[in-house]
Amino acid sequence: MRVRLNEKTKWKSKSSKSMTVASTWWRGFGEPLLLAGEDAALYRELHARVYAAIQPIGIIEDMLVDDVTFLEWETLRWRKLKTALMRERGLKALETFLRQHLDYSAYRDRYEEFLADILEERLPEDQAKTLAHNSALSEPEADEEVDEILLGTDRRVDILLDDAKNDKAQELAQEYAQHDRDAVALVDELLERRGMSMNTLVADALAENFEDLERIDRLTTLAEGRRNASLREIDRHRVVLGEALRQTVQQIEEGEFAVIEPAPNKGKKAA
Amino acid sequence: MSRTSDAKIKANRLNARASTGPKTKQGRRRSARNALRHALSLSVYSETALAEEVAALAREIAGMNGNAEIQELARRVAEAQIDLRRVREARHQLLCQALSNPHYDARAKVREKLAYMLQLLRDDAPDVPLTALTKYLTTTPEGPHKLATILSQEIQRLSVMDRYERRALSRRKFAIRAFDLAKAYK
Repeated sequence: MRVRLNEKTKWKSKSSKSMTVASTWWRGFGEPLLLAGEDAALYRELHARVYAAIQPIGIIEDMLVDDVTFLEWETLRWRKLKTALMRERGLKALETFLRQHLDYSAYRDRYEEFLADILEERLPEDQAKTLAHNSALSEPEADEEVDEILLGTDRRVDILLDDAKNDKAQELAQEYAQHDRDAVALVDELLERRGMSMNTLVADALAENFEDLERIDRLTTLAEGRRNASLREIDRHRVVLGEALRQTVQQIEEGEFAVIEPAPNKGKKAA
Repeated sequence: MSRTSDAKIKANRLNARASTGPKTKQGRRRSARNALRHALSLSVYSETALAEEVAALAREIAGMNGNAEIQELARRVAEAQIDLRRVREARHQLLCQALSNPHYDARAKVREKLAYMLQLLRDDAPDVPLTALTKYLTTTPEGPHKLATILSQEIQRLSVMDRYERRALSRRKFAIRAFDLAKAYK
C-alpha cells in the first residue's frame, strides 16, 4: 500500500491512524528491499538517521535520501556477509583441523555416551553405562563384549569413534569461537604442537575462497561509490538551489531599493 | 556455396505450416514471452502500472506551477527513478528466489553429486553407509555461504542488472541536474 505524505513528518495509514515518522522511505519509492533474515525495523531506523542528518527538502532530496539509505544498507549487508563468511570459513577450518588432530582423551567421554546409547538398546541402563565406560577406557574384556553385541547390529566401533570425534571437534570449534577458556587452551595447545596458529589456519581457509571475498569487496565498493555519488548530488542540488535563491533575493532587493536618479536642477541656485 | 533447391524450399514451407506452435491467444501470449528474461531493456512505459507511477511521481516533482518544460524534465527524473527501482527490484527478486530455494547449490557441486551417484550405480561401486550418502547428497550451502554461492553462480545476471542500474542512475543524475537548472532559472 502506498500512502501519501501529509506535510513533512506525518502520514495517515489506511486505518486513518496518524503516525509521526522521521522518514519517507515508503513514499513513492516502494518498500525496502530486504533479504531473508534482515530486519525491517533496523532499515527504518537507518533511514530515519540518514533523514535526520540530511534533512531533505523536496521530493528530489527525498529520493536521494532513499538512495543513500538503500546503498548504505547494501554496504553494511556486504560487509556483514564478508565478516560472517570469514568467521564461518575459519571455524570450518578449525573443525577440520580438530577432526584430524584431536586426541582420543579429548573425545573419550563423547564416545562413551554414544556407545552407552547403543548398548542400552540391548542391556539394562546401568550395565550398558558400565560396559561403555570400561570399553572407552580400552579394557580388553569390555571391548570384546562390545564387539560381540555390535556384531548383531549395523553399528561399527570405528564409525562410532569417528562420530564422537567429529561431534567433539564441532563443539570445540564453536566453544573456541565463543572464547570459552578451556576450549581456547586446548585448541591453542593442539595448534602449537603442530607449529600452527589460528591465523595461519584462517589464512589457508580464506585463500581457498579468495574469489568469493573479492566479489563481496567489489559489491561493497560499488555500493559505497554510489552512496557517495548520491550524497554529492544532494550537495550539488543544494548549491544550485542556493544560487538561485541568492539571485532571487538580489532581484527582490534591487527592485525594493531602486536607485533614484536625482532630478535635474531647474534654475534654482544652490545656497 | 550451394543454393537451396526449390523443392527443399517448398518442403520447408509445407512443414512450417504443419508446425504445432501455440494456437490459442493465451498460448501465443505465453510463447511471446519465452525469450523474456528480466525485461529491463524495455521502457518503463511498457507496463501500465509503472507508467502510472512515472506520471504520479512526475506530477509531484514538477509541483503545482510547473510549465511544460518543467513537466517534461520532471517526467525524465521520474522515469529514471522508477526504472532504477525496477532494476533493483529485479535483482532483489533474483536473490530472494535463490535464497528461498532449499536445494540451491553451485552447479559444479550438483554435477559432482550426479557423477558420484553414477559411480555408485556401477557394479564395482564402493560400499558407502546410507546415512553418509544421504548427508552428502542433501547438504546444500546455508547461511552466509549460501548467499556467497548465489553471488558466484548468478554473477552474469547480476552484472547485467548492475549495468542497467548504472545507466538508470546516470540518467537520473543528468535529469535532476537539468530539472534543477530549469527550475532555478525559470
